Amino acid sequence: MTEYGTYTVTGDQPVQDAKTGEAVAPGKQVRLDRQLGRELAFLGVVKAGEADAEPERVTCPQCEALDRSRPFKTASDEELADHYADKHPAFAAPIVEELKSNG
Amino acid sequence: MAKLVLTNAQVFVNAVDISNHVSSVTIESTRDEVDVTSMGDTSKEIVLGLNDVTFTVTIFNDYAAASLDSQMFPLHQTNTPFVVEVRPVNGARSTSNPAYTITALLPSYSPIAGSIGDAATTDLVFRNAAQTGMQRLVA
Repeated sequence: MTEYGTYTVTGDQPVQDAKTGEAVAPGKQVRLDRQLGRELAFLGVVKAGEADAEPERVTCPQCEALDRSRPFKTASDEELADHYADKHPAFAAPIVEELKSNG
Repeated sequence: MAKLVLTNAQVFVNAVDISNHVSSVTIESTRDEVDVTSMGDTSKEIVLGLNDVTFTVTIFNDYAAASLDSQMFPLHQTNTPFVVEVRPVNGARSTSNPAYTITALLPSYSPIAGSIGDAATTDLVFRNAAQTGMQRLVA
Protein backbone atom coordinates (compact mmCIF):
# COMPACT_ATOMS: atom_id res chain seq x y z
CA MET A 1 0.00 0.00 0.00
CA THR A 2 1.32 3.44 -0.92
CA GLU A 3 1.96 5.74 2.02
CA TYR A 4 1.69 9.45 1.44
CA GLY A 5 3.35 12.28 3.26
CA THR A 6 2.80 15.99 3.20
CA TYR A 7 5.60 18.23 1.98
CA THR A 8 6.12 21.90 1.29
CA VAL A 9 7.29 22.80 -2.22
CA THR A 10 10.54 24.69 -1.71
CA GLY A 11 12.06 24.74 -5.19
CA ASP A 12 11.14 27.05 -8.06
CA GLN A 13 9.05 24.43 -9.81
CA PRO A 14 5.56 23.21 -9.01
CA VAL A 15 5.25 19.60 -7.84
CA GLN A 16 2.51 17.16 -8.77
CA ASP A 17 0.20 16.15 -5.95
CA ALA A 18 0.04 12.36 -5.76
CA LYS A 19 -3.68 12.27 -5.01
CA THR A 20 -5.14 14.95 -7.29
CA GLY A 21 -2.51 14.81 -10.04
CA GLU A 22 -2.43 18.60 -10.12
CA ALA A 23 0.58 20.88 -9.91
CA VAL A 24 1.15 22.52 -6.55
CA ALA A 25 2.91 25.87 -6.58
CA PRO A 26 6.09 26.63 -4.61
CA GLY A 27 5.35 27.47 -0.99
CA LYS A 28 2.24 25.28 -0.90
CA GLN A 29 1.79 21.83 0.56
CA VAL A 30 1.82 18.76 -1.63
CA ARG A 31 1.12 15.11 -0.95
CA LEU A 32 3.70 12.67 -2.24
CA ASP A 33 4.53 9.02 -1.97
CA ARG A 34 7.00 8.90 0.95
CA GLN A 35 9.78 7.37 -1.12
CA LEU A 36 9.46 10.09 -3.76
CA GLY A 37 9.08 12.70 -1.04
CA ARG A 38 12.39 11.63 0.47
CA GLU A 39 14.09 11.80 -2.93
CA LEU A 40 12.73 15.25 -3.70
CA ALA A 41 13.50 16.48 -0.20
CA PHE A 42 17.09 15.31 -0.69
CA LEU A 43 17.23 17.35 -3.90
CA GLY A 44 15.77 20.40 -2.17
CA VAL A 45 12.64 20.42 -4.32
CA VAL A 46 10.37 19.88 -1.32
CA LYS A 47 10.74 20.00 2.43
CA ALA A 48 9.25 17.37 4.66
CA GLY A 49 6.48 18.69 6.86
CA GLU A 50 5.59 17.45 10.29
CA ALA A 51 3.05 15.19 8.70
CA ASP A 52 5.87 13.37 6.97
CA ALA A 53 7.43 12.25 10.20
CA GLU A 54 7.32 8.50 10.51
CA PRO A 55 4.01 7.58 12.13
CA GLU A 56 4.34 6.83 15.81
CA ARG A 57 4.11 3.11 16.47
CA VAL A 58 2.43 1.58 19.47
CA THR A 59 3.33 -1.66 21.20
CA CYS A 60 0.75 -4.42 21.33
CA PRO A 61 -0.62 -4.37 24.90
CA GLN A 62 -1.19 -8.13 24.88
CA CYS A 63 2.42 -8.79 23.89
CA GLU A 64 3.50 -6.46 26.69
CA ALA A 65 1.23 -8.23 29.16
CA LEU A 66 2.74 -11.55 28.10
CA ASP A 67 6.21 -10.00 28.40
CA ARG A 68 7.15 -11.05 24.88
CA SER A 69 10.80 -10.41 24.08
CA ARG A 70 9.87 -8.94 20.69
CA PRO A 71 6.48 -7.33 21.15
CA PHE A 72 4.57 -6.43 18.02
CA LYS A 73 4.67 -2.74 17.13
CA THR A 74 2.60 -0.92 14.57
CA ALA A 75 1.03 2.38 13.58
CA SER A 76 -1.79 0.75 11.66
CA ASP A 77 -5.18 -0.36 12.98
CA GLU A 78 -5.35 -2.90 10.19
CA GLU A 79 -2.01 -4.48 11.10
CA LEU A 80 -2.92 -4.54 14.77
CA ALA A 81 -6.23 -6.23 14.00
CA ASP A 82 -4.43 -8.84 11.89
CA HIS A 83 -1.90 -9.38 14.66
CA TYR A 84 -4.67 -9.86 17.23
CA ALA A 85 -6.51 -12.29 15.00
CA ASP A 86 -3.30 -14.26 14.60
CA LYS A 87 -1.71 -14.07 18.06
CA HIS A 88 -4.40 -12.99 20.49
CA PRO A 89 -7.65 -14.26 19.02
CA ALA A 90 -9.43 -14.20 22.36
CA PHE A 91 -9.14 -10.42 22.56
CA ALA A 92 -10.60 -7.59 20.54
CA ALA A 93 -7.97 -5.46 18.88
CA PRO A 94 -7.73 -1.93 20.29
CA ILE A 95 -7.53 1.23 18.21
CA VAL A 96 -4.02 2.62 17.70
CA GLU A 97 -5.05 6.19 18.50
CA GLU A 98 -6.61 5.05 21.77
CA LEU A 99 -3.41 3.27 22.75
CA LYS A 100 -1.47 6.47 21.99
CA SER A 101 -3.81 8.58 24.11
CA ASN A 102 -3.62 6.06 26.96
CA GLY A 103 0.13 6.47 26.86
CA MET B 1 -13.17 20.66 -30.76
CA ALA B 2 -10.88 23.64 -30.96
CA LYS B 3 -7.60 23.44 -32.76
CA LEU B 4 -4.66 24.12 -30.53
CA VAL B 5 -1.38 25.90 -30.86
CA LEU B 6 1.03 24.43 -28.37
CA THR B 7 2.10 27.28 -26.14
CA ASN B 8 1.58 25.99 -22.65
CA ALA B 9 2.03 22.23 -22.54
CA GLN B 10 2.63 20.75 -19.14
CA VAL B 11 5.41 18.29 -18.42
CA PHE B 12 5.96 16.47 -15.17
CA VAL B 13 9.09 14.43 -14.60
CA ASN B 14 9.13 12.38 -11.41
CA ALA B 15 6.29 14.59 -10.09
CA VAL B 16 8.14 17.85 -10.69
CA ASP B 17 6.54 20.29 -13.12
CA ILE B 18 9.38 21.28 -15.43
CA SER B 19 7.13 23.04 -17.97
CA ASN B 20 8.73 26.45 -17.54
CA HIS B 21 12.04 25.05 -18.87
CA VAL B 22 10.58 23.04 -21.78
CA SER B 23 10.85 24.24 -25.37
CA SER B 24 9.45 21.19 -27.14
CA VAL B 25 7.91 17.85 -26.38
CA THR B 26 7.19 14.84 -28.56
CA ILE B 27 5.42 11.65 -27.61
CA GLU B 28 5.92 8.63 -29.80
CA SER B 29 4.19 5.33 -29.29
CA THR B 30 4.81 2.56 -31.80
CA ARG B 31 3.72 -1.02 -32.20
CA ASP B 32 5.78 -3.49 -34.15
CA GLU B 33 4.18 -4.55 -37.40
CA VAL B 34 4.39 -8.32 -37.43
CA ASP B 35 3.88 -9.93 -40.80
CA VAL B 36 1.53 -12.89 -40.67
CA THR B 37 1.02 -13.30 -44.40
CA SER B 38 0.69 -16.97 -45.19
CA MET B 39 0.50 -19.31 -48.18
CA GLY B 40 -2.57 -18.70 -50.27
CA ASP B 41 -2.92 -15.07 -49.19
CA THR B 42 -3.26 -12.48 -51.90
CA SER B 43 -2.53 -9.47 -49.70
CA LYS B 44 -0.02 -8.84 -47.02
CA GLU B 45 -1.43 -9.10 -43.56
CA ILE B 46 0.03 -7.68 -40.39
CA VAL B 47 -0.82 -7.78 -36.73
CA LEU B 48 0.41 -5.39 -34.11
CA GLY B 49 3.27 -6.60 -31.95
CA LEU B 50 5.19 -5.18 -29.05
CA ASN B 51 4.65 -1.61 -28.00
CA ASP B 52 7.40 0.92 -27.50
CA VAL B 53 7.10 4.44 -26.14
CA THR B 54 9.48 7.38 -26.16
CA PHE B 55 8.88 10.83 -24.71
CA THR B 56 11.37 13.40 -25.98
CA VAL B 57 11.49 16.66 -24.07
CA THR B 58 13.82 19.49 -24.99
CA ILE B 59 14.65 21.67 -22.03
CA PHE B 60 16.66 24.75 -21.29
CA ASN B 61 18.91 23.28 -18.68
CA ASP B 62 19.23 24.92 -15.29
CA TYR B 63 22.13 24.14 -13.01
CA ALA B 64 20.81 25.95 -9.94
CA ALA B 65 20.41 23.97 -6.74
CA ALA B 66 17.17 21.95 -6.73
CA SER B 67 16.59 22.74 -10.40
CA LEU B 68 16.62 20.64 -13.54
CA ASP B 69 20.18 19.38 -13.78
CA SER B 70 20.23 18.33 -10.13
CA GLN B 71 17.02 16.38 -10.74
CA MET B 72 17.84 14.83 -14.11
CA PHE B 73 21.29 13.59 -13.22
CA PRO B 74 20.10 11.21 -10.47
CA LEU B 75 17.23 10.08 -12.71
CA HIS B 76 19.75 9.24 -15.40
CA GLN B 77 21.77 7.20 -12.92
CA THR B 78 18.95 5.27 -11.33
CA ASN B 79 17.53 2.02 -12.59
CA THR B 80 14.30 2.69 -10.74
CA PRO B 81 11.59 3.79 -13.17
CA PHE B 82 9.77 7.06 -12.57
CA VAL B 83 6.69 8.66 -14.09
CA VAL B 84 6.69 11.22 -16.88
CA GLU B 85 3.43 12.95 -17.70
CA VAL B 86 2.61 15.36 -20.50
CA ARG B 87 -0.59 17.36 -21.06
CA PRO B 88 -1.41 19.58 -24.05
CA VAL B 89 -2.33 22.49 -21.77
CA ASN B 90 -1.09 23.43 -18.33
CA GLY B 91 -4.23 22.58 -16.40
CA ALA B 92 -6.25 19.81 -14.87
CA ARG B 93 -6.62 16.52 -16.69
CA SER B 94 -9.90 16.30 -18.55
CA THR B 95 -11.42 14.72 -21.62
CA SER B 96 -10.20 17.74 -23.61
CA ASN B 97 -6.84 17.90 -21.82
CA PRO B 98 -5.67 14.30 -21.63
CA ALA B 99 -2.52 13.40 -19.78
CA TYR B 100 -0.15 10.92 -21.40
CA THR B 101 2.02 9.09 -18.94
CA ILE B 102 4.77 6.53 -19.01
CA THR B 103 6.86 4.88 -16.39
CA ALA B 104 10.27 5.60 -17.76
CA LEU B 105 14.02 5.55 -17.51
CA LEU B 106 16.47 8.12 -18.83
CA PRO B 107 19.18 6.07 -20.54
CA SER B 108 21.17 9.01 -21.86
CA TYR B 109 21.65 12.51 -20.57
CA SER B 110 23.79 15.31 -21.94
CA PRO B 111 24.04 17.85 -19.14
CA ILE B 112 26.00 20.26 -21.34
CA ALA B 113 25.65 20.43 -25.10
CA GLY B 114 25.98 23.49 -27.27
CA SER B 115 28.16 26.02 -28.99
CA ILE B 116 29.15 29.52 -28.07
CA GLY B 117 26.17 31.79 -28.03
CA ASP B 118 23.67 28.96 -27.79
CA ALA B 119 21.18 28.45 -25.03
CA ALA B 120 22.13 25.42 -22.94
CA THR B 121 19.50 23.00 -24.14
CA THR B 122 19.25 19.29 -23.53
CA ASP B 123 17.11 16.60 -25.10
CA LEU B 124 15.67 14.32 -22.48
CA VAL B 125 14.72 11.03 -24.11
CA PHE B 126 12.56 9.05 -21.73
CA ARG B 127 12.16 5.42 -22.65
CA ASN B 128 9.39 3.11 -21.62
CA ALA B 129 10.39 0.97 -18.64
CA ALA B 130 7.20 -0.76 -17.53
CA GLN B 131 4.62 -3.12 -18.97
CA THR B 132 1.93 -0.48 -18.56
CA GLY B 133 3.29 1.30 -21.63
CA MET B 134 1.74 4.67 -22.35
CA GLN B 135 -1.47 5.58 -20.60
CA ARG B 136 -4.00 8.27 -21.46
CA LEU B 137 -5.65 9.75 -18.38
CA VAL B 138 -8.60 12.11 -18.50
CA ALA B 139 -9.22 12.47 -14.77
